[in-house]
Amino acid sequence: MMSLREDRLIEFLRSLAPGGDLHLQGGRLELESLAILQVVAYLETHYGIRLAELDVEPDDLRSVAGILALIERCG
Amino acid sequence: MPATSAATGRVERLAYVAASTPGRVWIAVFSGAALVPSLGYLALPFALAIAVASFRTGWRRSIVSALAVAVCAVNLLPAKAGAYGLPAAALLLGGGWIAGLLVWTRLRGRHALLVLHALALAVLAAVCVAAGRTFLSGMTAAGLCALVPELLWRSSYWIKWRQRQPSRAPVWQNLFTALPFLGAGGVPFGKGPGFFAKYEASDSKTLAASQVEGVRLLALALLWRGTDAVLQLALWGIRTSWLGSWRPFVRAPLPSMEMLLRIPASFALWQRWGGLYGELLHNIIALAFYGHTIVGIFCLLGFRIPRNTRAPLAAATIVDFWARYYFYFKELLMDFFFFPAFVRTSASPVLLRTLLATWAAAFVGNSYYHAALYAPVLAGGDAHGYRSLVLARLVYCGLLATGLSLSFARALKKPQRVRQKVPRVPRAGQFLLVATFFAAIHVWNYGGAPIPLERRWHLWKTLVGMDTNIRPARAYSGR
Repeated sequence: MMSLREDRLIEFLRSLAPGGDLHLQGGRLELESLAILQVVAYLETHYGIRLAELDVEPDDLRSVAGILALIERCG
Repeated sequence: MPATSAATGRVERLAYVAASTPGRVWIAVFSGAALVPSLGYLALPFALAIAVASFRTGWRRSIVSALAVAVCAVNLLPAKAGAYGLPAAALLLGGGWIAGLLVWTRLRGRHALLVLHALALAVLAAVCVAAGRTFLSGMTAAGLCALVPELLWRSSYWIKWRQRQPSRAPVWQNLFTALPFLGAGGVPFGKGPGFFAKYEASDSKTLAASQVEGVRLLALALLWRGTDAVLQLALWGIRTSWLGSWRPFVRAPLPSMEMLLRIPASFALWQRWGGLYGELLHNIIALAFYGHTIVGIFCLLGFRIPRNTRAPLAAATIVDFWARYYFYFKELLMDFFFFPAFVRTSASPVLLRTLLATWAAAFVGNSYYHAALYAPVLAGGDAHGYRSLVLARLVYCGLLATGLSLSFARALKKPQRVRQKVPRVPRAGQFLLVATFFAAIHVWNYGGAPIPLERRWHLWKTLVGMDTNIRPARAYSGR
C-alpha cells in the first residue's frame, strides 16, 4: 500500500507528464527538462531539500524510486 | 485488437525470433551489412562483437571495451590519421590522458571536474602555442586539438560516475564509455557508465528486445541516408555516392547555404527561405542517420539507450524541438550547465532560475563546447578563422538562448494542471514558427570552416528584404 507521501508525489508527477501518463520503463520516468526543474522546485518547497548541497544528478529525478530515495535520505 | 497491443504483440514475436540462435546469427550478419556504408571495413569487427555479445552475454562489457580499444588503435594507424607524427603524438596524449584519468579518479581529487577542464584548456593552449614549430607540425597540432574534446566530455561523465562509486569500481568493463570509438565531435552517446548500466539488457528477453530496436534503428538509418541523398539531388542538384550516376532531371530549384552566403541577392526571397528550410531538413535527416547508427550499434550490443533524434519536426515548441533534435548534446548541456545552475540558485524565483539555467546551458555551455571543438582551426594557424567561428557561435548561442528562454517562460506561465499530450503532428502555425526559428538561426551555425561574419549578417538582412545590394563574397573554404 502506498503512503500518503508517495500518493502526493505520484499525483504531482502525473501533472508533469504529458496526458497524465507516467511513462514507466523499468521504473524510469520520461520527464522533459522543464519537468525536471519543476520536480526540483517541488522538492525544495514541500520537503525543504536543497539539492545544491547534495550529490544529485538529473537522472536521479527520472524515477519515482529515485525521488523517494532522495526524500528518504534527507529525512 | 487495439493498435497498441497489436504493436506490442508484433514486437514480442520479433524479440522471440531474435532470441533464437538463427535470429542472433541473422542479426550479426544484417548489422555487418548495414554498417558498411558508415564504417567501411570496420563493420566486420562490429558485427563480430555483436555476434559474440549475443551468445556470451557475460562477456558483453569486456567485448565492447576490447572493440573500443581496437577501433581507437586502428584510427591511429598512419594511413588513417593522415598526418606525419600524429599517431605517436595522439597515442601519447590519448594514452596519457586515459591513464591519468583512471589514476586520478581513484585518488578522488576535489573539484575534479574543474581541474579536468582547466587541464584540457591548458593542453589546447600549449598545443596551439607549439604548433608550427619544428617538433610539432600544424597538421599534427590540429589533430591533437581535435582529440581533446573527444576525450573531455567522456572523461567528465567518467568523473561524475566514479565519484559515486565505492573505492574499487570495475574499470575495464566500463572503459568503452571513456574512449572515442564511435562518432565524432565529442558528444558522448550513452553519456557515462551510470547511464549505460541503467539501459543494459539483464536477460535474454531484454537483450532480444534491445537487438530488435537496434535492427530497426540501423534500417531507419539506411532509409534516412537514402532520403537525404534524394533530397540533396532534388533541392540542390548535389549527387552523393549513394545515387551513383543518377542526374537531376530538373534544374536545382533552391540555393545551397554556400550559394546563399556568397550571392544571396541572386535569388528571390522565397528561394532564400526555401534554401534555409531545405538546409534545416537536410541537417535533421543527416543527424538522424548518424545518431540512429550509433544508438543502433549500442542497442545491438545490449544497451538499449534512448534515441538521439526523435521526430523533431513534430515539436510544437522551441524547447521541445531542442530536446528532440540532438538528445545527447542537450543532455550534456543539461548535466553540466543547466541543472547545476538551477539547483545553485534556489533563493531566486523559479522563472528567474530557469532563465539563468537556460543561458548557462544554451549560451555559456554551448559556446564553451564549440570554442574547444574549433581549436584545430587555431592550431592550424588560422587565428582569424577561429575568431570568425567563435563570434558566429556566440551570436547563434545568444539567439538560441533567447528562443529557449521565451519558450520556457511561456510554458511556466501555463497553469499547473495535467498537460495535454503533444499531438503527433503539430498545428501548422506552431510547426512553421519553430522551423522558421531554427532555420533562421542556422545561418550562424552553418559551416565548420571559417566564413566571414559579415556574409552571415548580409544573408540575414536579405531574409527580411533588406540590403540586397551586396559586395561580391570574399573567397573562403567551406562545404
